[in-house]
Amino acid sequence: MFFNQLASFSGQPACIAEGKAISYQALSSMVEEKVMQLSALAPQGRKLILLQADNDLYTLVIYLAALQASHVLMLVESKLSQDKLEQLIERYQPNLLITGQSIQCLSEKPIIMAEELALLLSTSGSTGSPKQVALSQQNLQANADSICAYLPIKSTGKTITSLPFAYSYGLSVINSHLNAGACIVLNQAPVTAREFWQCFEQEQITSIAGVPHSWQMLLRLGITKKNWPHLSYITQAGGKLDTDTAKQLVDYAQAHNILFYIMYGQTEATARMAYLSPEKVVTKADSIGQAIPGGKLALKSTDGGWIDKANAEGELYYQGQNVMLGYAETQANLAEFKPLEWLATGDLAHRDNDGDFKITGRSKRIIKPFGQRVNLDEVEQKLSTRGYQALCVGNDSQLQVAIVDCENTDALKTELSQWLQLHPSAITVMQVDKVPVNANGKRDYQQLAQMLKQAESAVQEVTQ
Amino acid sequence: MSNQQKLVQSFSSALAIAQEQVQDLLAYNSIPEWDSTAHMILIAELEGQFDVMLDTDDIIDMSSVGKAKEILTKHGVSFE
Repeated sequence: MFFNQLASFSGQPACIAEGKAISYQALSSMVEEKVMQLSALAPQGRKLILLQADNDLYTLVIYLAALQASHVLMLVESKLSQDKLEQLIERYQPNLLITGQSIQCLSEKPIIMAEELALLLSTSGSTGSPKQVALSQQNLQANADSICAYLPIKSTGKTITSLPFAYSYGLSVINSHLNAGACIVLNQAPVTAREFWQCFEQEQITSIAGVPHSWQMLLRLGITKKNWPHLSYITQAGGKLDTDTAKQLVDYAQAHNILFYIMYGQTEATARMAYLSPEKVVTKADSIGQAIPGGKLALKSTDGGWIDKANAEGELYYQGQNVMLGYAETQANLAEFKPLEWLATGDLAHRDNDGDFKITGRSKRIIKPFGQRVNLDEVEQKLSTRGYQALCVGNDSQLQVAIVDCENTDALKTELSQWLQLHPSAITVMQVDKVPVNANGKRDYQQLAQMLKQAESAVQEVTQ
Repeated sequence: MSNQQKLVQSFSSALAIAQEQVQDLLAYNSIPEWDSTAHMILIAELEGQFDVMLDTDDIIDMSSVGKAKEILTKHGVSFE
């Protein structure tokens, strides 16, 4: 597996940290040392380790050491707030907490964990939801192999970290590069900072990965006006690109002879499930293409039968060695997992006559304003625990909350903004007399959307 | 409204922080509110408020409130 074979790439650069190149051999030695250090800590044997991950060498070494020694690692973003971190600790009672380069022993009690379990990733980075996706070493290796089979990751290639380490897409870039013996420039700066671009030019970066929001920012920064002969391919995943952004990127890629990969995936499938062949981006940038090598996509109709014919909508299902072990919500869940035959993605799609898939909707209630994943049901639950009656709807630019008996909607908006780590301009809170319900007494989201639309046009009339 | 007031208002609304927090020394990434998303919202806000077009270098150099003033001055906005 990629984390055991580091030394086989000997003198090639594995990563560049703070301007210094670290060879695979050197990285392998650092990992070995860290394995020893971790094994000296109680309890003996496998441990559950909670790591606040950064895009730095320290995180990379801990990550690889945990995999080599078969510990179980829970990765969270370093910016996760203290109270959310404490909630995770309470639920999972990890043995070790590693944060800001210091290792704290929290519990010496051995934990019963399924043999195949290796990694826990959050289903939503921002809300710090305790729900975790459980992945195995085999999941990580299978997905890295598939990615290396379709992306042109050469051992001479050099990428730059542009996404969080604890985010499945960001992590898949790390895994696939180590798998190919390529080089990762460990960068902490956002794309909007000068350091990022200095590093990008100085290191002659050959590929960049981004979610729709990153590409929107990169376009606004004017990347298409520049010519970087060293850049050979770019990738996009983590949500659907809007038509305008897609077109600008397609034109840019064509003009500069850059391969542009539009991809599709979920943490539940380790990361990647599908990609669109780059020669097709000109004609169908709104498509996710076909399953990655080793995977299989299929559509299921609402009555539960598989759909064989083209151009019919159904829920998208995926099968492959990268499908997660399952979900976990507390420590007790880590003991055993039942393998899934198929992963239900929660996305609606259809297949065209060429066999390419196109996402047509989402059956799960998830929105991504500014690229921040927000689960609408989680927001409702949160508000309900606060004693509110509220309904949430939204799209990839706005979260809309209708709430009953809320004295200060502005204060609530600020609170939601902090909790979700979402810019307040993407949140609307509206006071309503009662929560709309349909004839069956169920929450009526369509009626709510209608109400919000009316309220919006009323506001517009007033301001005009 | 003076240009200084306009600037303070733009920062306060883009970063969702109190107007008193907007001081020349306030720097990018020094508070959680000023992340890359807020930065891009800030750029749009400043462009609208002062009717200027900011280029790549302006955007990636805007590392503090003071620096923003410097950049806007370059575009003909006066903070006297």
